[in-house]
Amino acid sequence: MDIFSEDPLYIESSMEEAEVLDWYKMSPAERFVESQKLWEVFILLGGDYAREPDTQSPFHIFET
Amino acid sequence: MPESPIPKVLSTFLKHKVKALLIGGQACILYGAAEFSRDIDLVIMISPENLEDLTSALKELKAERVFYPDLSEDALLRGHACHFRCQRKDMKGLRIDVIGVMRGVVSFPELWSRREEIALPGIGKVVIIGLSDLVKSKKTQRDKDWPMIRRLIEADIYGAPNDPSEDKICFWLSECRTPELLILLSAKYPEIASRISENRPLLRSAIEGNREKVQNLLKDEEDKEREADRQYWMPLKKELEEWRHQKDT
Repeated sequence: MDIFSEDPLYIESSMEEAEVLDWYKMSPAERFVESQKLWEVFILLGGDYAREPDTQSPFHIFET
Repeated sequence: MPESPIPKVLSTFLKHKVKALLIGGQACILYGAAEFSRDIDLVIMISPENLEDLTSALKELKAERVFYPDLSEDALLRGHACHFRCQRKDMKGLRIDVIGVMRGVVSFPELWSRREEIALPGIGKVVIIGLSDLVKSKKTQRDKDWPMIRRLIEADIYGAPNDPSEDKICFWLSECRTPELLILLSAKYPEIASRISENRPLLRSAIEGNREKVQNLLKDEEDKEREADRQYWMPLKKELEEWRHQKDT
């Protein structure tokens, strides 16, 4: 349930994005299942399991 | 069809009874703030028995240390994170990071007392850090963590009942990072907002409905936390550099 759904100011916030709202509506388990499906696409598109460099991580200089 | 390695890793940790809470990107997915994450981050209980269980799980995953420090009670108690990369064929390259202590976050026993348990299909009950603790753990020096906090709170507000508890309202007013929502929350719960503003002055601007000022003060809050995080990691980074230097020479 959405406590501010009728408020115009609320509609202006980032929560107006339909895709984001669809994601919020799911249960944690549903989100997990959907997220795992993205792995399939990610790997098929040439992605791999190795994490991309995070230059702002405190550990970045030790990873390179 | 390629499969996600995440369920296999989580199942392995459950199988070896590692006392750990899921944090980071995977926790953000479960709470609604993220769609995808390529690694697994855990906060673990620091004890000899638990490190043994963790080591057994990592062995099964063929996870090797990425860089310093070695997994030890001492390193974890000092605030270091230990980093691993899986070498097993079905998850080669997947990163697992474990930590025992986090800046600005309560100790593990208290985190454990506030944990959430979520039943995931094909895995079982996964134990996850509580939302308010996850939010605190995300107040880092990294750009990418701040939009995550914003979405964590938005998702929580979106999923809330029409009559949220006072504790929940206090949590939103203390942690929300969406100016429009802060103004709405302050208007709907003015007395609580006024009280919380003692600790979070930007709520005074939210009560006035000044969106631009709220936005600017949110940025100030963020800058302050990012600097505190940099300061926190400075001595730990120095220690890591010393370990690396000792190894190289």
